[in-house]
Formats: sequence, structure tokens, C-alpha cells
Amino acid sequence: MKRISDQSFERELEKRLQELSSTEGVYPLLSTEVRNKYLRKANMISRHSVSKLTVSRHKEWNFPILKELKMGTLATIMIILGLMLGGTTATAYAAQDALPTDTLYPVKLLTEDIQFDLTGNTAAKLELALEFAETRISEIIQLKEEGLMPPEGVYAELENQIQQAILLSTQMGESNLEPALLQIRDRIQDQLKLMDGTGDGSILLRTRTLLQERVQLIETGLGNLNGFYFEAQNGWENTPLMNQGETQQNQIQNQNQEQNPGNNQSPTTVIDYTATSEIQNMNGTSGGNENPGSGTSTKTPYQNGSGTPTVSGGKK
Amino acid sequence: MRTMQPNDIELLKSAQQSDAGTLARIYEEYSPAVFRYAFRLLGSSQIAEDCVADSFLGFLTAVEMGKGPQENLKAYLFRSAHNWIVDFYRKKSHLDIDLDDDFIDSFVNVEFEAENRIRVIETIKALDQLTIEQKEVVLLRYSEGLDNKEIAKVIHKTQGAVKALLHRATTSLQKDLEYETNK
Repeated sequence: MKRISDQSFERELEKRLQELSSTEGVYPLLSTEVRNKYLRKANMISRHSVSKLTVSRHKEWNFPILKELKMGTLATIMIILGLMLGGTTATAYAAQDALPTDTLYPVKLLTEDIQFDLTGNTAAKLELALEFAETRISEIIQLKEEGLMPPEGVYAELENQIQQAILLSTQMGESNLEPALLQIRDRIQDQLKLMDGTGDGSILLRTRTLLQERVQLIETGLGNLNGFYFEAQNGWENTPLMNQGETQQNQIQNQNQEQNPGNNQSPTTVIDYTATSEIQNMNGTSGGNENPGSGTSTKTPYQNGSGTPTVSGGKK
Repeated sequence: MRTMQPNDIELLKSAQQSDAGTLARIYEEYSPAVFRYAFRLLGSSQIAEDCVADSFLGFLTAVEMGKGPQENLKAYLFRSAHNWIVDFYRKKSHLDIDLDDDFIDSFVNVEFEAENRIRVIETIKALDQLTIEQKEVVLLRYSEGLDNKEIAKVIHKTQGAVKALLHRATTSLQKDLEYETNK
């Protein structure tokens, strides 16, 4: 028997239980499956929360009849889509959970396009672009977890949405550029944080690299706000960072080819990953784009002739 | 007595705004402790994982509905796990499920210093002599650092009841760990 005071025994007990917690191998590790499930739901409710803010900020409908209806944005869109599809709103609602490999996915993208077009305020549009980018990331992770290869178009859409957000940040006036860029950077960094622990592999590496490049671009912008603003107004030609992004992307594509022999991508589905060209397209400064402000080319992978509506027109 | 850290206040504030980064941070910060607690009380890593998953997903649902913890996040999460465990044992008594106590199995083959190993096994064996309720209060108090008021909230008892449980638990542990205290 060891003689000890009550207080000392409490300290001894505390020490012993700390030993239990800190000794490697005493407790099994909590599986990443639980973590992934939690993070997916956290991501989802965070996105929904952004949607609510967007709706409350929305000031003006483009269609007078919709102003009269005073309905929730999504419900309104579902009715429009229902009418467009010549059926009920059930299809449009069902499409909201669709993944890029599902037949109803184009309807989901169309819903987003309409929601974007109906939003008049630039700040609200920026929020929406970020929200849609987060949806694309969540889709990529979900497909990866189901053992499916995300279609090329999803990456293009993700890239397009982030570029859209960056472009919108430059349209909010010079004084608003910094907070807007910080907002975009923080949201992308949140996504990168959420992706920690979802595994490795070429799919996630590609997504992470794409996001990290955008963070890097934004950091550059934050370091030289005047230059960034000026370039946004006059085109981002020959930006060294963009060229660097192209090189990194080519490296990843080469790596994917090595890791997935036989998985040759059709030339028609190869997306131009040079951010410069997309920003130029959005700015209408490339000279060769008949539809400035459109991201149409990035959506072609979804025009699959499956009988479902194809997506036309980018987010303006 | 443990007071609420500024860290907790900030976390709760951003969590109530459904900030994805904060919600992720909450999981990283608290899930290992809740898992240890659940594992020690349930004796199975698989069942403890179900408990952690349901407790944390329940927390997200509460946040989504604008509810959830107002002041003490840690106590809230342990309370969710406690409710799950109580519910589990209630069902278990009807279903008569055999729990595999893989707690000792999990580290039997792990190499660590002999002296440390003896102490760890001694502690686990002594803890296993306690009732579930006594084990709960001991773990919450001495392993997770909750005070009596917080423990009372977690296990739905009065502070007096917590104190009594702790007294009985420590008396039992002193005996099993071969300590004699000066009364």
C-alpha cells in the first residue's frame, strides 16, 4: 500500500488517465470515414447558410411578375424550370442532388445559371459563384468516394466559377477589391482545409492544385491591388502566374496519364486550363470570342445528347 | 474550475453562423476526446465511432436549425455522447448484445516501456471495476478536465450526485491501485 493524501491521489489519477490518452496504441484511431461524413455535412450547411444570405441581400428581380410572387429564389427557379421542361417542378427539385455523372445534372447546372442570372447585385453574384464552386468541389469528392472519375467538365466548371468570382471582385469598385479578394481567398482556403483527410490520389491532387493556384493568384492581387485592378480592366495577358498555372496543370495531366494508362481523354473534352484565356473570355478581351462574358465552351462536356436539356450560355 | 476559454466563445460564435472552417475545427479539436470517452465506456471502437458520428452530426443539425450549444461546446458534445451511450445500453439490455472489449486487445501488441505498460494496464483494470456512471464521472473529471458543474450537465445529475459518484469512484480506485489515503 502506498500512503498518499486525497489531493495527491487526485493528481496521481489525473496523471494516470493522461498517460492512457497520450500513450500511442492504447486507443484506436477514429476512422476518417466519420470525419468525412461530418465535413460533408458541415460544408453543405455552410453553403445553405450562404444561400440564405444571398436571398436576403437580393434587391431586384429582373422579371416584374416574379417580384409580385415574392417567393423563395429556389422555388421560383423550380417553377421556371418546370415550365421550361414542360413538366412538373419535381424533376427540377430532384436534379438538385444530382452528381455530374447523373442524367439530371444538366438541370442542376441550368438551375444555377438561372439563379445567377436572376441575381442583380454584384456582391450577391460573387457569393453565388463561390457557392457553386464549393458545390463542384463537394461533387468531385463525392464521386471520388464512390470510386468514379469526375468528368473533365466539373473541373472546368470549378475553375470557371472561381474565375467568375475573381472577375466580379474587380467589378465592385477599386475600394471593394481587397475585401472581396480576401473573401474569395478565405473561402477557397476553407475548402482546402475541408479536403484535408479526404485522401490523396490524382483526383484530389488536381483539385487541390487548382485551388492553390487560385489562392496564389489572389495573394498576388492582394500584394498589388492597383496593378491587379488595372490588369482586370485591361486584360490579364501574359501574366507570369497564369503561365505558371498552365505548366503545373500540364504536369498534373501528364501524371494522370501515367497513373491511369488507357484513360485517354478525348481531344474534345480537354479543357484549356490557362486561366488567362478564361479571364480574357470573361472580359471579352481576347478578340476572338463572339460571346464575351460567356463560359459556354467549358460546359460542352455536359451536352451529351442524352435527351436532357443542354446547358447554354455562361454566367454573365 | 474550468472556465470558458475565449477560444470557445469565438468557435461558438462562428459555428452559429455555419462557418465551414470553424465547424471543421470543432471536429478536429473535440472528436478525439469524445471518441476516447465513448470507447472507454462502450468497449468497442466500432460502436464508439457510431456514437461520435451521431453526436457530431447531431451537433451540425442543431447548428443548421439555429439551435445548438450557447455557452459550453465541450460539455454539449459530451452530453450528446452520454445520451447516445445511455440509449445504447437501454437498447442493449433488450437486445442482449455481446460487447467485445477490444480496449486491452488494442494495445497488447504495442511496444512501449515496460513500466509505463504496467501502469497503463493497472489503471485500465482499476477503471473496469467501476460502474458505468462512476467510470463516466472519473473520465470526464480527470481525463477530460470538466468540473463538477459541467459533469452534472453532461450526465443529467445534480452537482451533489456527481460529488458522491466521484467519491465512491476514487475510493474504489484507491483500493484497486493500492493507495492508502490519510483521512
